Amino acid sequence: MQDAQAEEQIRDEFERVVSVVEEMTGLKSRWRGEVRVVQPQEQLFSHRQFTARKDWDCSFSIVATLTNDDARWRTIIHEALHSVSVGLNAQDYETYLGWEEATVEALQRLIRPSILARLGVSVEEALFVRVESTWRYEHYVIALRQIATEFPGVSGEEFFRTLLGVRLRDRKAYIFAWGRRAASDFEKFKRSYANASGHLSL
Amino acid sequence: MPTRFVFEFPPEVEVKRGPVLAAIRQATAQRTLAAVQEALELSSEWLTEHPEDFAVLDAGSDLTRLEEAILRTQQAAPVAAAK
Repeated sequence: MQDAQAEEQIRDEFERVVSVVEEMTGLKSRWRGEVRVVQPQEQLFSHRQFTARKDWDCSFSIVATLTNDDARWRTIIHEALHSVSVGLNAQDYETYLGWEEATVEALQRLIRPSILARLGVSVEEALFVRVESTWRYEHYVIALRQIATEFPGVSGEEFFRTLLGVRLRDRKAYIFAWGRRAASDFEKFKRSYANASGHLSL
Repeated sequence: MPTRFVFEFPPEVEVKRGPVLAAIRQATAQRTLAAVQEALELSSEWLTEHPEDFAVLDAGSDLTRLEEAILRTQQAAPVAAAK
């Protein structure tokens, strides 16, 4: 596929995903409509190889080899969620990387089926399970999910959607205050919180 | 020829892949420029031989984002300190 054609396809897909993500989260994306399809040789030359990312200038870059692979959908949704994440900036990302990645990835997995269904995209779920079984931040997701279980009556989607709308640097304190108000067993919540906070800092 | 991404490797490849994954884990835990750049170098060398390794290629998404975040923070720090 030619670069221009691939960029057009990915821009269209990213735009459609961002639109659904904005609607589902009620948050506004910072994406400015720019998409770059990067050739693997270009990445190799700079020793900076990646599948896809939302850059700090809020453009979206993706490697050419992923543009036709079904696995791209999870990556596009993940990056679209970063684009609406409240308070995501370079300094706070560096400090609270675990809190950002766990929130975005956990929510990506929860809302992906609905997003793909709305876009009329059909991909075998087993593909995503294979990709995600080796995901490098799995320990972050597990830690944050553990905290989520302490809130009765709050669905996983609601929990992570709420966190995404809280400024990144405030999420840790926000969860503690939320737990004080709403956890079914505050002492148990505090233990989960302490344990998860440790994991999310690693 | 499109790349066919692979998610699982035979044990003899996993042994060689181990140090690359360890460097990635260390870089995201330490969050220092040196650790991140070392992980990117190792990943790049690995991907030259194994461009099909989705997990290592995907880790580059966060490593490059983290590298830029550290560089931006370092550049902003003297300005903030001067204010």
